[in-house]
Amino acid sequence: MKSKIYLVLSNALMVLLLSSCYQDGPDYYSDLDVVYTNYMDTYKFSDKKTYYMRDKILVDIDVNKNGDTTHVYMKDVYSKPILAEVTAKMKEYGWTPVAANASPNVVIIPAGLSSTTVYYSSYYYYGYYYYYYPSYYVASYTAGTLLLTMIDPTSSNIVGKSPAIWIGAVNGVLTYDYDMSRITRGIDKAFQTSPYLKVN
Amino acid sequence: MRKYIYTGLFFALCTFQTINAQDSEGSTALNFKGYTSLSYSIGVPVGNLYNYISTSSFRGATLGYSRFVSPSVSLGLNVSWNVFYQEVPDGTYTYGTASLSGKQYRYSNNAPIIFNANYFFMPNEKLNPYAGLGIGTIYTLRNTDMNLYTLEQEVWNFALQPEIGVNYEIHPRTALTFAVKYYHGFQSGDIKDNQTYLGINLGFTFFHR
Repeated sequence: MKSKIYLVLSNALMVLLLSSCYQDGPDYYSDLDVVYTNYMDTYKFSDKKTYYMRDKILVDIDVNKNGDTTHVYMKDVYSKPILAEVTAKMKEYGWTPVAANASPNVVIIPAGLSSTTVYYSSYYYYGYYYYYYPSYYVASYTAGTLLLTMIDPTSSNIVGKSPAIWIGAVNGVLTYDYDMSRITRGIDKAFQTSPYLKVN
Repeated sequence: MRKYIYTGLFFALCTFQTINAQDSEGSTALNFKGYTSLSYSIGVPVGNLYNYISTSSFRGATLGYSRFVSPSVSLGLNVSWNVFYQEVPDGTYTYGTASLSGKQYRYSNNAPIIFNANYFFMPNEKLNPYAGLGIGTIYTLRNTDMNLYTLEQEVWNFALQPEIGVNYEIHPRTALTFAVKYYHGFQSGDIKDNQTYLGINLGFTFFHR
């Protein structure tokens, strides 16, 4: 009788153990946020002081049936805090904003990108006497990226394009909450990991 | 719910030979042909595995089956599973001029399959310490998650596993078992590091004819 009790106890123990073997992971959308930066190591940032950055953030380009393009910009309620944060960090790093026609040393081009991933799965199951129709599960998520590209308008390559001297990208899963803190934290992190941008 | 039922049935089948045991038997392993063991396993990473995941694993189990070739020596097979997990706080990873900052979620599933030989020092006693050595392989599945992406690495390592333990008889055919195993998986494939960790096992051993 005792051996049966031990057998039951050990089986219960193993069931409990294996049932606890679920994997942990991220709990919040912000846990998936990442910041990427890269720069041209041959470029001397310390020789520069002025920059120009437009007051709008490009998010899309519409092309109509005639081939005409229309730029789509981010709404001001979102773009203004973003641009204000970038301006503040540039000032902290010793840069001075100037107008586009004032021959800035560098130009910052902000842009917003998004991509939506849709995934689905289907499964079949059946009862003892009959078969159920398959069930489908569909879900999607949208990831967004704030891209900051810094170029030197005075330099160009053989095809006349100015190469990027610095790129900062903030990426994360988009939500419908008005939570600008994730973006501003990402901008701060992008500058924090780019100490070579300091000119003061 | 079904998976819990199926899991319980699986382990019940593994030990079904003990169901028909009588309560009064000889108290030593001398009377039995073999044994089945079930243990809860704690994994403590060491070496290069510790560099990847420094936290211990409290999700693990070991199942074993052995036959006595003499009153003091048994040969058998042990299969284990330990899941290591660690949430690495926001950090910056730099490669050349590129930097990537964010949280990482690291997972390491380690499943040793070990053929082992154990020597029991006091087979006539209730408290029966033993030592053993095993040889086999460790299947390792390692996932590093960052943002919406995962880096998955999968290898089979050749492994050696020394072990010490003790059985304490709580019933003529059942013993409480405590064992410490050292798994050493040699580097292989995508993972350029040895997979080494300590397994601390506590469970039951069921002797059978």
